[in-house]
Amino acid sequence: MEHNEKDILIKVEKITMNYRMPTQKVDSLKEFVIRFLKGQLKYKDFNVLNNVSLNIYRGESVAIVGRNGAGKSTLLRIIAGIIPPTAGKVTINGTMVPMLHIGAGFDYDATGKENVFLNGAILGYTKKEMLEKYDEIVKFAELEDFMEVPIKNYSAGMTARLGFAIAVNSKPDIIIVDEVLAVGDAKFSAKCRDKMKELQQSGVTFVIVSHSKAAVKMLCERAVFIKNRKIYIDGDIDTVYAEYEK
Amino acid sequence: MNNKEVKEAKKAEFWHERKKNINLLATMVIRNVKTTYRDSVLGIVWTVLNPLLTMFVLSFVYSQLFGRDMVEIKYPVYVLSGMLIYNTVFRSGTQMGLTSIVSRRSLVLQTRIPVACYPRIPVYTALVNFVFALVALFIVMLIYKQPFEPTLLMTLILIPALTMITMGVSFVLSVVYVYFRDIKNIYNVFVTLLMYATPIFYTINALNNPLFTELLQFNPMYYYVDYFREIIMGHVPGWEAHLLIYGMGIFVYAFGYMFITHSKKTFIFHL
Repeated sequence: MEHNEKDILIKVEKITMNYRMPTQKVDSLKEFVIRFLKGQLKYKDFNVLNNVSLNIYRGESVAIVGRNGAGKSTLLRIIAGIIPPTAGKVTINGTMVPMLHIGAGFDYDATGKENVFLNGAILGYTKKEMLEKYDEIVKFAELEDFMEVPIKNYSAGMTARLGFAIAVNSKPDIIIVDEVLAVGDAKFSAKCRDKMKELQQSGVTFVIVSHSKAAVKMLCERAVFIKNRKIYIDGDIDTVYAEYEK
Repeated sequence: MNNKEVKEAKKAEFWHERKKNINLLATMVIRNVKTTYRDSVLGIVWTVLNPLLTMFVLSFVYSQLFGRDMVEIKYPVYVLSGMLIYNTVFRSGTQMGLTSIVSRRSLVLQTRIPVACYPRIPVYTALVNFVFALVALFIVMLIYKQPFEPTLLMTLILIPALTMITMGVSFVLSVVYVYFRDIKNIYNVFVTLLMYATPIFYTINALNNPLFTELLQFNPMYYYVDYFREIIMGHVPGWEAHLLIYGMGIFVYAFGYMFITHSKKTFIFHL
């Protein structure tokens, strides 16, 4: 596909990521001082991503695959702006909702209704903006009778439904997903899949980490295979998964 | 797009970011205040009752020891005003600030909220508590017939400076706590020490110790507490007082802010 420079939604430029890990975990000041004086503070740097560049264009969705520990989630978090890369730059042109963990930031003592606004604020929406989306969120989550109940009394499925409903109904330009496609019971997860498909068709870009081709096939045409700290193949989803599953 | 348009767009985005952050802070602070008093019958009344009761206990105990030589300010007002500045804002703000990043670990690791927001939440919560506690102070002033001076309005000048120093300290502590969990115990001892080093229950005159008076100059909290009492008594603090409270506030805030924004790269892997 030919793309215009202007249509770049996510521009990842030469990302390098190094983790610095102490070989022994030192988590008290006392221990730190003792080890420091003894000269026993040892670190090990390891490189997770090396000079990765990637452009994602408006209207396309991309799946990211790779073995465990290949750096997929790290890349996703860097794109989501959660962790800063050691070197390189990420430019995002649009609003983004990271769905790395359903219900991150829920306050379990607060009611469902309060949590909609709390979660909205975390995602960057004002109370007024959330009020407009509120009815739709409640309807989608099928929790009409439970919005005044503290969510500590919700079942795990209900909490996940609410989290998913807030994320998808906030109508961002980009949704970042880390293997959270199964939400609630069979019927609800079918509904989620339909909703995601609908969003994708309306122009929302998904960036998804998934090991299962079946789960992402309906959303993405393009896939990126991360291997040996670099982008190994970037291309059509069938080709990439064929290589990955080999 | 030409240069001007780019500038305009950048400006709009900047304000949008600010609006988002303010909205987030407000939502979180309201939740914090709500949860603190969630399960009590008296609810929000506790925020006023709590400092009031503590003050009565303290002034009952300490008025036997010091504070009989004060003319312009009644002892209970003296104690409570000191506590409001030190305990309600600085101490509780920084103590809650210390754990703010670690206790919201999942948010830090999964959302895009700027990291400096986390310590701000407890500091603003402490400020809300301060406003409630002011009601307690006014009640005590009425009871002990302390006149309400117009200079009391200068609290509005004091608060931003106090907020800045509290926030600056919280910024640093919240990051250090990610690395060293024992800093919490060390800091708790430190704030207790600092409390006794700040004239909250006693007056400097009552101590009558020149060495201590000398040392007191190095306690930043002294200047904030002193400012508040001056305006309660109806005095307008001099420019030196303003310079000091703002100088320290801005310096500590700027240092803390740079510290926290530059350390995210590293501390996130220790969380």
